[in-house]
Formats: sequence, C-alpha cells, structure tokens
Amino acid sequence: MGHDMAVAGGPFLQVRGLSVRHRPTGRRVVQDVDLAVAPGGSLGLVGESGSGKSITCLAMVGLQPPSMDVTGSVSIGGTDTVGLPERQLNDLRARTARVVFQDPWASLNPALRIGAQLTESVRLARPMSMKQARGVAVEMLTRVGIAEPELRLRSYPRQLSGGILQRVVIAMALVAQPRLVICDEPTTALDATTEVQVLELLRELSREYEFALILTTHDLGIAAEYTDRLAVLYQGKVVERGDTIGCLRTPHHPYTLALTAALPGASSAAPREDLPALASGARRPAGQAGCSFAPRCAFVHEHCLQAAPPLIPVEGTADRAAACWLPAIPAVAGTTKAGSQ
Amino acid sequence: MTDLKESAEPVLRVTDLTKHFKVGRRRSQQTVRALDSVSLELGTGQTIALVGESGCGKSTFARTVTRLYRPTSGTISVRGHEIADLSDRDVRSIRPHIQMIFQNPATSLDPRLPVLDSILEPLRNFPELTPRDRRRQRAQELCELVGLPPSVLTSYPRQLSGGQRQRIAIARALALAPAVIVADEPTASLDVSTQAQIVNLMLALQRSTDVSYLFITHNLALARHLSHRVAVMYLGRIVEFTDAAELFEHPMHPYSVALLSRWVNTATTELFAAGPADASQQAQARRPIVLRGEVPSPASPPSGCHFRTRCPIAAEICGTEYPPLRELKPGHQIACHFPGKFAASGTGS
Repeated sequence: MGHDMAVAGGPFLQVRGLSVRHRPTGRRVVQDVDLAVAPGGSLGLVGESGSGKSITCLAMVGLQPPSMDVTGSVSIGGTDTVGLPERQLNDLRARTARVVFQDPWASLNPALRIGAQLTESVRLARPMSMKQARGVAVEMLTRVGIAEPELRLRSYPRQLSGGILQRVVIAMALVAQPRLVICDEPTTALDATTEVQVLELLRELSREYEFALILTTHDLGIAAEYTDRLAVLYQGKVVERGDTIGCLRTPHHPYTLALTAALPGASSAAPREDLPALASGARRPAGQAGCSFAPRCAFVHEHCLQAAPPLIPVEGTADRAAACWLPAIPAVAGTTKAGSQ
Repeated sequence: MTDLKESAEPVLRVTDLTKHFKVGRRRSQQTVRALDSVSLELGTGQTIALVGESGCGKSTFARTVTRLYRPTSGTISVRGHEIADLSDRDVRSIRPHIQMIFQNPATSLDPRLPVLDSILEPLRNFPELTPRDRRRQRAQELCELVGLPPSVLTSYPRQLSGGQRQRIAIARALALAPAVIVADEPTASLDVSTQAQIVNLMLALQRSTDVSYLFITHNLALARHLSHRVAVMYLGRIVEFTDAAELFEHPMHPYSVALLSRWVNTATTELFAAGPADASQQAQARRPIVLRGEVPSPASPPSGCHFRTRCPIAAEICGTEYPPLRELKPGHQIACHFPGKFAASGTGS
C-alpha cells in the first residue's frame, strides 16, 4: 500500500489546529486536530459516533452546519479553506476536493435523472459541451463497473440499488478529476459483498487517478485494509495517529486498544467468552483539567486527571504519536490476538 | 468451542418454513419468496446465528418464527406448542415462550411510556404468570439482571443512551422468562464498545437463564463470537449450516467462502497478530473475494441454484437444479452441487 505514496514536496492536505465550536452551546466538537495526507495517500479517520470524524471532514471543505465556527488552518493543494468565500469553496468542492457521503440515496436528487446529475458534475469542474460531458459521464460509469451506462444515464436514483448508486456517486466525484476524495462512511449503508466491491473500486481508482483519499469509518477492519495512515478520534481530539497497521497492531493509546479488543474477531477473547468491553463513561465537563478519556480508561493514574496529554511521539517509530502519558500500555490479557485460532 | 449440549427435545423446531409475500396489484402481482423451506432445531441454552445480506430472508425468518407474520407453509414448535397455524387471536398465547429484540431500541420502546411501564407491559398482559403485587419487584429484578440501576425505571427512553435502551429492550423480552429470544441485529445501531457490552450481557444471560437465542446478523465476526451454530442464508434459503467453528475454518459453499474472505480479512486474524507471517501467503490470504453483481430480487430468483449468477464456479447443472441442503459431514449441511470446490482453489489453502 505504501509504495505508491509518492513523496512529492509535502502533503496535499495539511490540517493544523482545526477546531470546530458549536456556537449556541460553546461546545468544542473538534479540538486542535492536525492531519496530513500525501498526494495519492490514504488516511483513515476512526472513532465512535460523536467522536467528531464526520464534522472534521465537513469542516475541511467548509460544509459544517451554520451553527458551527471553524478555526485553524486547512490547506488543500495550497489553498487555505478556512474562511474562504463561499464562491471559492464551491469551486474547490466542484474541482479539487470531492466528498462522497454515507447515504447514496441522500446524495442524489431523486427528481433528476442520473445523467443530468453526472453531466452537471462534469461541467461544474471543467467547462465543456453537454455532448462532451455525456461522453465523460459514460466513460466514468463504465470505469466504476456499471453495465449499460447509456441506459443508466436515463434512470432515476430510485430505480437503482444502493451498491450501484454509490458507484454513481463515486463516478460523480471522479469525473471532476479531483486531487482529494473525502469519503464519509461510504459503505455503511451497503451490504457485505457490495461493500467489498465499492471499497476495492475506491482503492483501484485512487491508484489509477492518484487522488488522496480520506476514509472515515467506525469499522477498524475497513481502515486496516483500505488506508495506509490512521487517526483515531475521541471526543473531537486525535488521540493516536500513525501508520494504520502499526496503530492497530500495537496501539499506544488505551482507547485504540479498547476499540480493537472489543471487536469480535480481532479481540483475544475466545468465542462465547466476554469481550473486553470499554465502560461507557461520562463526557468530561468542559473546562475540567486532565485527559478526556480518563473516566473510561483502564490505566488511569493521578497525573491523567491533572493535565491533558498532548500527542507524544511513540518511541521507536518513525512518526507515530499518541495522546497518553503512559510511555507504553502495560501488558494485560486481552490486548492483541495471539496468533490465529 | 464445540460444547454442544444437545438436549433430547429442542425448544424450537422449525420445519420447511416458507413465507411468500404477494406484491403489486392484480395484473402485475408478483410473489416474493422471502423464505423458502427453512428448517432448524434450537436446543436449550443454544444460539444459532442466521447470517446473510439484506434480502436473504433472515429478518423474515425472525418475524415468521415469532408469528409476527403468518407462515405460508411449514411448522414451528416452541416448547412443544405448535404455533404455525394459530389464529391471530390465539397467537398471543405464545409470547411467554418466544420473544424478540429489534435492531433499533429507539423505535421498539414507546417514547411516551416510562421505562417501568414498558417492562410491566408484558407482565400485565399475562396477569396469571406474575401476581400483581410481585410485578414491580420483578421489574427491578429485570433491571438488575441487565445491569441497569433501578433508577432508570422512572426515566423515559429519550433520556437513555442507545446501549441502555437496548438493555431495557432485553429486560422486557426476558420479563416472561421465554425459552427463545429472537434477536434481529440487536447491536447494529451501536458503537463497538457498546456492542461488546450488549454481547457480554447476552452471553451472561444465557449462562444464568439457559435462554436460547436465534441471532440474526450480517456481522460474521459477531456470529462467530456469540453462537454455537451458524446458518448462512441466501435469497430465502439456508445455503450452509454448521458449527460456528467449523464454518469459519472450513466453509464449503462458495457464498460462505466469499463472505468469510471479508471476515478473515478484516477480523484481522493475521493483521492484529503480532509476529511476521509468510508475507506472500499473508498477502494472498488477505485479499477479499469480490463477487460480481448484486443479490438478485427474491421476486424473480435465478433458475436452479439461486447463487449461480454470482458464483465463481457455476456450471450447467447449477442453472437447472436447485442443490438440496444435504449433510456432507456430521453436522455440516450445505446446498451446493460442488461443495468445497471453491474453498480449495479460491483461498489458496
């Protein structure tokens, strides 16, 4: 996975100190998030619901709800998107950075034929005639594995299945020849075998067209298989980041560890034995000092309640970091799976 | 893990259960064969998982076996009671024997009722089973059983988290001490950590009450973790049915093999394991098998074997004859003309 991550003068997407605040409540739903994706690279954002992974994605391209304030800097191919005027943001979203959402039914206009929506997408990115745009659309539909593309252009979204629709949505993103594709839980609404088809397609296309890929998912297995970098979010903060396999094999944050341990199949727990479940902890009140994971952490100690840990580089690794005061997680039963069963 | 304690008489016996739905108006009416001749037996304290993709009939099975749907044909017997032919009025009488937990606890609890009333409802419906003065106490016991403080009894569902609501739904299902609980994707709307808690709770309850589960899921890892036996369904039929461990080690139906390739892959047996494995072998084993196409409509399933349109090893006979479910090894049933053929070449094992 890593070899085609061409090193070409730095990351294509660079997020620094991104924070998102919900204005009415003052709650910070994303806090000081730093992320980077190389051209052609892939980044997985994982975490539970409410961890801020979706809002992080939306904020990067200025799609946060109006009640949210965004601060920090997000550089996409050299353009800082925070505070960018709407017209320029629209342009960016049409050409450079495309978003694929979870629910393909909600991403398409039910009243318009697929063809109209695809050609609009083409022409927003690159000025060309209707006829040319149709040609581009047909070509891309073929590329994403849709049979009889000419016929599909005349279909309405409701006439197609979820798997086909998500391919259409991906085609719609790719006709713009974007440099960055942000996929927010792209297969959560799909079936198991369709999910594999769509994810494999995304991987192939990201190699072929060399776009950078951001994939949010709550499924660690998907992150493991389809991304080369990982950021684990907890209550709006990155608590661990690094290469995906490394983070999942030897987690350095107790939250990452807990997520892998609680996953049936990945857990060391034998079938029909208790899974090491993470206690559901209360959200720490805003302004309270200390680590936000402390109420649920199995390894909490005094220092954790006094000061929030910054992202600390993990010793012996190139660029991994974890927001935990512990230099290493103490070895406990139920951490990693010892061999296959 | 094959601690199958087969009791003499299964608590649930389903024979040739079939459910067809008529859809559309007169002229364009179609029959959707949602469930076609499904048979299984569930022992006391046992769990059978039904796995498959949407449209495979697993939810129809759940709803037919609990008699929320009236079966088109076939028999269902729970604790010795024949329930398939009960009239809509008499069907109430089976509720103390078989109960159901739904996927979304937010919609399976009445938002206007305090939790206490939701739990009392089944007790009140069967007044002869729990005397009036015992009911409140029983509700508190149930709360305790599912790991919630008695204080939640006065709350409303909206004040609880998803995990807590699912615990209430489980408490409610347990209220009448049923022999069988049918759980339809009970953790699909929950986060990984909450899912683990609910899974642990279900296991603990089974140990303490000997309840049997029919566990409906699309999550193979979860099926493997929770169940003794697994039935893989495709387009309304069981295509493979065997011990959980056996299925995951030796799947023989091409569909199971494809589904499992995704599981082995992401359940990360080798990925999370420390220590280097043979790199090339690992890379090969890690590739998920991509099936072409999508699940056909159950209104017009393909002729012969329903899976043949997506099967990597389909041959001529597959288009003409539906392979019957037969027992190839003791306890391992499979519906395929070429059982095990794809497993051998497909996964390189």
